[in-house]
Amino acid sequence: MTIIVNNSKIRIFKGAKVGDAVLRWAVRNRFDISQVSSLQVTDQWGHLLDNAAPLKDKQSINILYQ
Amino acid sequence: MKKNFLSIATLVLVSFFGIAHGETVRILSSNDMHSAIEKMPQYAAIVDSIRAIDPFVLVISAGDNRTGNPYNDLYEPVSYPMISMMNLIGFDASALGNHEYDSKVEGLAKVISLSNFPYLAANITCPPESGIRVRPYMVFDVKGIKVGVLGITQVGDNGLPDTHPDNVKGLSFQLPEEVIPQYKWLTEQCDVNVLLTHVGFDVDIELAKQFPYYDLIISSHTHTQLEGGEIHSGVLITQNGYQLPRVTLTTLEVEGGKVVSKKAENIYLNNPNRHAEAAEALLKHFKNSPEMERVVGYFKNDINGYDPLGVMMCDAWLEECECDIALENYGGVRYDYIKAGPITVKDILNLDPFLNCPVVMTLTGKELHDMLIACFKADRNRFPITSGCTAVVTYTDASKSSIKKLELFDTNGKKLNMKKKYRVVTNNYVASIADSPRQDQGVRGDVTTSDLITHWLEKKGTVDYQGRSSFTEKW
Repeated sequence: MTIIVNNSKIRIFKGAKVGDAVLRWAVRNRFDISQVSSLQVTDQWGHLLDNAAPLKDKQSINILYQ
Repeated sequence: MKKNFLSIATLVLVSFFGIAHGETVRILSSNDMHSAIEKMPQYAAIVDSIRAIDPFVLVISAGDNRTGNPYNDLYEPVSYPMISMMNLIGFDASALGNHEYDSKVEGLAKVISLSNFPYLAANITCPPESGIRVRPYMVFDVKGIKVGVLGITQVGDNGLPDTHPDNVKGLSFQLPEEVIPQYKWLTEQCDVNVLLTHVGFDVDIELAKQFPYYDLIISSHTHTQLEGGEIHSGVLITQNGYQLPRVTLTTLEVEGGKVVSKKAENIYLNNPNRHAEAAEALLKHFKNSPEMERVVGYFKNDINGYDPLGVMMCDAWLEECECDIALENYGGVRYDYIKAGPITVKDILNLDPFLNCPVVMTLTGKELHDMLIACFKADRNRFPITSGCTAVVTYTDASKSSIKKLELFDTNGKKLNMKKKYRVVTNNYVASIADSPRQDQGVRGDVTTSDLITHWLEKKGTVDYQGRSSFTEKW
């Protein structure tokens, strides 16, 4: 399935959770994956999501840098 | 402790004495608790505090009460710790979350039979032989006010909840928007109308648009962290994260059979010292679960090093998922020594503690080759462990920071065919960090990889992995 992370498309396995998409995004953007837990993730309305939150195909999420 | 209690008391008292006419309906709701048994004693204390002021407060869960903590999910009967805590607190109702189906129809039937509160879902049909007893709705009498609560369970694109299709065999589901209009009559008979849904915040916004005659949607599934609640199309929607960071207190003022004002506030569960003693005693009991000490297999010899234990993990995943090849990142193996003798459930959870899930994909030999290198790079230059194939890794130099050449061999020692397709299993962590080009990204399974190892060891009995490795290194 495809997830839109910070306006970039990421293809990832079906059933991926927010944490999975964040990891893929982190690797792709050379962000230290041991630090991903410090990132905040929001949905399209700006609500906070946790890493275990389910994702749907074509869902948009945003990763906020601290 | 005192401060926390006072803030709850103030919250309730202000709204209690602030009403000139009519009645106040209070609902304390939670969602996606996901086996957070450690938070339940705090939850119980909050419920006690609010009930001291308003004994009619409704305590409601929007589903996914289970899955997320081995102390709850491995208990027999499954999920009993969570259910007994919810019984102790005195929940009035729960929605059916997609994870409620994780222990199949038999497991869900048992969970429901152990629960002292009803499960609400109007869009599920359960044949009598399933043993599952679900109500579409409940009408609660709160100080003479009729509060109608209609339950809706999650249905995915395939027409089933997000769980393995085998888990819901024999059950049938309808889309929420097809079912909700059938209960319009209920809303006309009740003073307060609540949709208790497990469909996700985005879907709930659409439901609010389509069915604005509801006063409140108690939302869940997407783990959305709202600041209290939000009004969409005139409907108040509440949802409060994952594993009980907070609970939501919704206050509805009712006059003349109508809700005239509504608000939702978050109450934090961040003070473990403020807990209900009975719930704390239950928690201690369940944390001493004999299930954790259950012997699932035996090691014939002592095992030294991450490699042999990693190979064992991969063998287990490979056989349990009926794959040709399995791979695990080196950093995913958390033990480097296990003594010969019995292996317990706790040992397996320490070996593979991340509650990862398997991801099964079909890869060509070339795609696998590239994925192994991508995993090496993302896992701090540590080559992954495999089963179903072995590797000879040639590094550019002794620092082993870069791979010059990677050769893969099948179980007969022949070079792996780069064009042939293989069924490959790994965990969701590797499937995420190994960012290499591949046609099939795979599908995430609904069990944990540690569960796969446990089941595999139960079948194997005694295993011997002394000295095993899946790759050799050169430079």
